[in-house]
Amino acid sequence: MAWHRFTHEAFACVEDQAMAIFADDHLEFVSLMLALDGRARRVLLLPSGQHVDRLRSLLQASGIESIVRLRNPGRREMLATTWIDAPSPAAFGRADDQLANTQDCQRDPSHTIETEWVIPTSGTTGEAKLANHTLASLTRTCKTDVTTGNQFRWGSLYSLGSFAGVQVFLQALLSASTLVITEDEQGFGERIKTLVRSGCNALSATASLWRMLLMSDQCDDFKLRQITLGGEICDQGLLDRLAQQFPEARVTQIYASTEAGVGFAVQDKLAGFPSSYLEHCPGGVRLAISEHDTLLISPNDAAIGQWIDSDDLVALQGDRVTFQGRRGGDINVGGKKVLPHIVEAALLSVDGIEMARAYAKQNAFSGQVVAAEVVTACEFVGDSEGIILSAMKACRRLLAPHQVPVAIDLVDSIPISPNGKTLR
Amino acid sequence: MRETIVAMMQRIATESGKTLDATLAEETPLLQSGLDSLDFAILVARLERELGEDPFAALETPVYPKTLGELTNIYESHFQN
Repeated sequence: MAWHRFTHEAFACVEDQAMAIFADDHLEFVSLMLALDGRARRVLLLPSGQHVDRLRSLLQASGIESIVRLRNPGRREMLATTWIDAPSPAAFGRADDQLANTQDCQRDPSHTIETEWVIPTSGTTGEAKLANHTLASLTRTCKTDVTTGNQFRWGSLYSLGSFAGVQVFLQALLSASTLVITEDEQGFGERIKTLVRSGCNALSATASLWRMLLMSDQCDDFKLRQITLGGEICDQGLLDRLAQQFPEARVTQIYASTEAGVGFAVQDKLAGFPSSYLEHCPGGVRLAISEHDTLLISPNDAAIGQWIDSDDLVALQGDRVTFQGRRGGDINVGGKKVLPHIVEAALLSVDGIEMARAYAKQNAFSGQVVAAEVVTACEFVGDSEGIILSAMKACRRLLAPHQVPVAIDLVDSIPISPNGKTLR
Repeated sequence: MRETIVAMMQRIATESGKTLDATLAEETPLLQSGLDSLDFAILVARLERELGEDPFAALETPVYPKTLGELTNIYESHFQN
């Protein structure tokens, strides 16, 4: 594997340092990643489109205090950190110019270090969970056949500051494919138009985004050869519809655990995965089902018995294993995970609400949405409408949009387990 | 039915600080209406509350409506039967 190393003097200050990358523009983000690889000791990727509180908690969790940026402060000045201004991309070469020549560039072994990449997992607002990776661990499942790779023009609808986004970027880079970069601000319809116009023929996105794409009037013009899905449970209805709309496309479902740093792929256009994967799973991963019906996952080179519990509930039915939701009652809204207790805390902050339970409600567009039920104090029983309104107001104020319940019901009681926890 | 749906779309747009396309018509592509994917999820959930049923949940094979007209049809066909 070869990387091109940028030698601009401005990056001398980052030699062997730990820092974060921040750029709303994906192309700039990619330029910074390439510039820092092999020079910086640790690099934290900060995702775009995030609330400044989340960025702050990610920085705090990683212990990193410096951020490299290419331009434009704006609200980012609110973060109390050291800012390093990188030179404009023209000064050290645009990433897209270099991608075509990647296989010809050699790494200088005496001057490069193994950079540690720190990637935020898809948590909720304020929940900072980080996964540490090296280039080797990130590219474990990347295909490097350049001849095949050259035929693909990849698009990604993921933020580059996420595990999925980085995977698409690295896959495109290592197989010398073209990567079509679109920006969040463009709006979904525009992004699809850009991808279609640029001749994108391979796309990676969550199940919910694929549902949205099927609603687009562009989808008949989209000539896809590779469809990749991940981040959410994918239902058979969606898989069938994708096969119908894009009959020449190969459909790959990726199941990946950011914590474990491994995953596996399913290519048979059926929901879930073959039960034979429990005996032998492609890609050097071992799978098993725990006694509480969750999927256990372990990389092949880990010691025997070293399992990571994914907390994803599964059901074994004949020759198929299907996904049934999250064990802790975690809710997955269009690929974004919501912890019920966060929603419940927001509800409990309302005067008069004594107990709350947030749960997943099935949804045709986003897989799941958040719903909740509450128990009120006796004095408030007469004003049920008022209290529901206050509860919704509190949720909108305290929670991210995807965490807000679509409905809040007033109930007489909420069952609790023997050790005092809300039953899910 | 169309008024019910549009009124709900308007409410959701207001709540999430967005602007609904003023020229919203039968042929308007839903993806250009001003709402995002989360908003559509909320829309069907809230309509289920108001109308008592969710036509999408009842569908054997999933349908992905492209325009406001197609969305309205799904609801109208479901509630007529």
